[in-house]
Amino acid sequence: MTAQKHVLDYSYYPGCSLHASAKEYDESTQGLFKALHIGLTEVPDWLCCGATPAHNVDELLSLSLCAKNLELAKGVEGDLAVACAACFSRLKTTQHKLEIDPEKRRQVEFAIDAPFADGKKVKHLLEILARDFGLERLAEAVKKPLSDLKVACYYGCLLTRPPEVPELDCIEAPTIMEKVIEAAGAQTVSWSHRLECCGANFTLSRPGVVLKLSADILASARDAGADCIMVACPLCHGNLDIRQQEIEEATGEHFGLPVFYMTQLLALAVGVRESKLGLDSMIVNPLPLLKKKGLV
Amino acid sequence: MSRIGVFVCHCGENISRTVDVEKVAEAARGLLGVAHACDYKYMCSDPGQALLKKAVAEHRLDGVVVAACSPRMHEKTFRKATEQAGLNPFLCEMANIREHCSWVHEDRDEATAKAIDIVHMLVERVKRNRKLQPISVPVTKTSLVIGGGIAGIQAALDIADAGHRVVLVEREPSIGGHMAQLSETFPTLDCSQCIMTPKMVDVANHPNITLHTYSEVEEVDGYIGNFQVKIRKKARSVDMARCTGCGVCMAKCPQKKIPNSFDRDLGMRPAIYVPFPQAVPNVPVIDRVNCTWFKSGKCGVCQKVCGPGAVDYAQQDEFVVEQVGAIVVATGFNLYDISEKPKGSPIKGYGEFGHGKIPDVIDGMTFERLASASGPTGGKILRPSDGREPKQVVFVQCVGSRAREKGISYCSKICCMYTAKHTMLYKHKVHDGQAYVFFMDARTPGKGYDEFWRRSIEQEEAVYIRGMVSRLYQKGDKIVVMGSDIAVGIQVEIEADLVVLATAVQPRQGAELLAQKLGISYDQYNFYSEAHAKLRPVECATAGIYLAGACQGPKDIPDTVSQASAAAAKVMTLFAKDQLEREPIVAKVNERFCVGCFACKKVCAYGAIEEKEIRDRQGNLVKVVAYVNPGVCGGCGTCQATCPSKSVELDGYTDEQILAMIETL
Amino acid sequence: MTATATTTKHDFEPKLVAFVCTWCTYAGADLAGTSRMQYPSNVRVVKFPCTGRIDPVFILRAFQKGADGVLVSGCHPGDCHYMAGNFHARRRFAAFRQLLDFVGVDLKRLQFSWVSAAEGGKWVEVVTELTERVREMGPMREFIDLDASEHWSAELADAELKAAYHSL
Repeated sequence: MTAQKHVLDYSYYPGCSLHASAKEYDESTQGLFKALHIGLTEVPDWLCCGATPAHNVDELLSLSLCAKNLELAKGVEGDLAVACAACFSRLKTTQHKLEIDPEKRRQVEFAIDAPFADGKKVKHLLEILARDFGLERLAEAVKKPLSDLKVACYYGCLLTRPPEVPELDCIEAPTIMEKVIEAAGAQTVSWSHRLECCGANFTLSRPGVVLKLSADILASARDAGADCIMVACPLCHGNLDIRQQEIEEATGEHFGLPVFYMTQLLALAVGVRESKLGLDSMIVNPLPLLKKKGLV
Repeated sequence: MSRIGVFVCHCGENISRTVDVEKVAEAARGLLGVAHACDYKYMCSDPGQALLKKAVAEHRLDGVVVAACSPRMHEKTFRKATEQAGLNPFLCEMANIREHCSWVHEDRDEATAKAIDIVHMLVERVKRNRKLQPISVPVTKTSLVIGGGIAGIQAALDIADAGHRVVLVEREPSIGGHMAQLSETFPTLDCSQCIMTPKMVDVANHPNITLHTYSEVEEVDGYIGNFQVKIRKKARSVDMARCTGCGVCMAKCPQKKIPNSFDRDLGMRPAIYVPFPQAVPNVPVIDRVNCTWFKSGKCGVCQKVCGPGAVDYAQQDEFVVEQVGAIVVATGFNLYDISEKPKGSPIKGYGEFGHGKIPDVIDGMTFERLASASGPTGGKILRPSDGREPKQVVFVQCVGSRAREKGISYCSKICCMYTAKHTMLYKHKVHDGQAYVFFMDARTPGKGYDEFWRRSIEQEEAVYIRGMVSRLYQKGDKIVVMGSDIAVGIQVEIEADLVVLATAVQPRQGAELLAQKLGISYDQYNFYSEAHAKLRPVECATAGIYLAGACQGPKDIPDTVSQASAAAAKVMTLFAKDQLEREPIVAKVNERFCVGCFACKKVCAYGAIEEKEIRDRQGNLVKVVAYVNPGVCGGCGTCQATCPSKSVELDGYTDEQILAMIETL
Repeated sequence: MTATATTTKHDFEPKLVAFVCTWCTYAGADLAGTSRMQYPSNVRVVKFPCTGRIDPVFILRAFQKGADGVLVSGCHPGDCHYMAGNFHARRRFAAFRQLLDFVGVDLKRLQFSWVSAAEGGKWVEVVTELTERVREMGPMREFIDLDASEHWSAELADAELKAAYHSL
């Protein structure tokens, strides 16, 4: 099927959002990895990870959901690649908790009716790109450098947290997103709200909270001189992109900042066709910016 | 055959109530090598001791076992009595049949049987005891003091005033340390310079003090009473003997834009400089990294303008060797830098506080320099970024301290008080300004301390918010401080003009390297360890080395001065005798069996083991063996248990003695 | 206190030896005494300056000479009067335990613990627990038999060997 042999192979857990509101994240991820000759095999029949609400309601449920997913993933070769920050955080947390707490592990194993699949490595796409694939190789693969683009890398809460779980990067001062996008030739800005919470799932229950928190983030990125924001989490994307117009109306300020998934920008840089990036499903239209910078 | 005497004490009724003392004495009489055994109501009393002495003479005893209380209680008493009876004191042992027997058991038969066993063990032990002589070592009555801050200055002055010579070594060009940098001191708000500089001058003028500034301790050898210390005197490029301190060189130096670290880089200094105007000695040094002459070989202005011809570009580092009997370590502290990763922490500093990159987020010492009348702003509180007067200042306590997740779990002890002082100094200078303090707890134990803290709230109207700051960031020319007020249970956001962080007190950089040179121990944070946390707080476990000030743990000025004087008193106690006597419980090497593997040297915590060459009569090297320096040996015996050829023996705890005790089972 | 300490006679009273350091555990045992705590009388204490001085040979010898259980106790890690003796001891005994296991001593007969000068209660606890444990296990025969057989077998007939053995 493949013309060229894969340089790396992963099992892939997209998570619910990537099949729904964050389809463009999934599309661009597939496109990017294909272009880099990294194999992704989707875990068959995967379930929701429980996302941010489940563990607040029932810890056992949230652990069992993730344990079941890990168990399913065992059937597919390669470390488990995860795109969504929430899925990543939940899967890692589950592994950590079941490793240190035999009693919970027993309960979970009873619930999923299978032994817990430890040993399956869970990796975020960033980790795969920056460490497994390597920044140098990534830079070599770039066909269309994003040289003129000033990117504000937004981590949100979940990518590097909780601190006791083996880290993706430093909790308080991570740099992995910056490194990855700089490898694609982009410029990054130094800004204060990289790690602030966007309001997450309060977007449905208390949108007022989200408006305030997300407005601060957008203002901070704009003031730092960024052209756009880059995220790795569907929920952050929703709050910053879909609600941006609403925020502008509420605050009377203008932002006009397109919010990209990191894979969209990277795929663009390695020459994936524009139509495969899902740019049309973004609410804040990125085309004027990309045209201005000569990228489309 | 040994002739051991066994003396069983009733201890009033303390022992005899549960132990049949007569039966114990009778059983002792039946033991091989026991020449005499008796029991008595109070062995430790005068008549009891007289009984012991009489028995030694009468029965020609060559060993004594007193079955009574714990040796921790009366071993000294009975060893002294034994000595007075004409025996070597180390031929007396105590069998502990009170704390370890009569007091902890109720059954009379069981307790009596155990008492007999204990006596038996000690009889077998004392048969194998050797006559030991106290060890004496000479004392050189000169003291080295490392560090010229307030701790070192106080210790040096005290020792020198007692009539002993002191060698004071300071790393910086001037003595004074951190205290010279402070503006005012709590809880009296008197000016730090005013109380510090006279002491600095006293040090310089004291006939008994030899001062080495811009110098570092290079090597330390020897042991209590007899240390050799090699000191590196870094090249000052100015001849101390010729310089008059006129200051023309500094005025004429064309390089004037070098950040002065004494002013926390807020002020500028020339390449030839004294760190501050009241420096002692008042002799400049050339900063060779920044000096044009040293960079390009051009300039030479200072040399040309120097009247007495003191500037010497060719000067080299010099080495001085001093013989000293005691060492006081007073190397002080550093403030934690929020861009730094604390030792052992997984977290790279305080990213949430801007990693030290926001110019108007400063630490407490920088604020001291801003507030100091002799500081870079002449005592005006002005923001480093734009020189404006800040109207809203946020102080954050416990930055780095009590932060287990950042790797530092201890309390830095001084921050609550100096932050209270800062709010006062600020309010005194900026009347319409408002100070906010984020704090976890206010810790103000100390004379007049809590009153002082209350004053900052009640009179100076500082707003204290109990809670921590989660984040701060630059927004325009303000700094937004996000924190929580846990008393009210709300989140707080303050737009501040200036943020002052009370950062943790840490040991001096490189403290562990000096500790390794000195052979003293340090804790996980590199603070030096005292011999006993409560009862020996100024002594190191290494004999002859004493601690003063913040190098041992965070301390304020009164505590530092007290500890420095205490360390000085310890040195004077040591110097009160010409010879030093100590218990002869030390290890000895059997040179016939020693193969020179030096496994003992690796485990010796005292550095007491030296390499000794054995030569034949022609002077040819036969072998190298271990030698235990009795002046340094601590007497733990770890070497003996480690020695593969069993050729080290700890006097008083030989294998023979221990195995004989086990044999009685 | 008295209720728990009521002496009940047992069929088997084990012999216990405790190797302790003088600064922490010996003082802790003293404190148990001054606090008038009660514990089984089976233990015999041998005092050392430091656990670092305790040679594993002593433990072997104690078992050989009829001890049914051995307790080794010193200062808590970091509290050593001699700075690091207890660390050396800890490392040494970690290796030694494996050897003991190999030669067939049930490791339940050997207890290592840290008892500080302030922990009279802990000393009582440790001694009581070990006494009761060893009492249940019954006497330790293996080494005594071995000792006896070595004494009377021809293996030690060689004078040199004998001298070496007795000088141990």
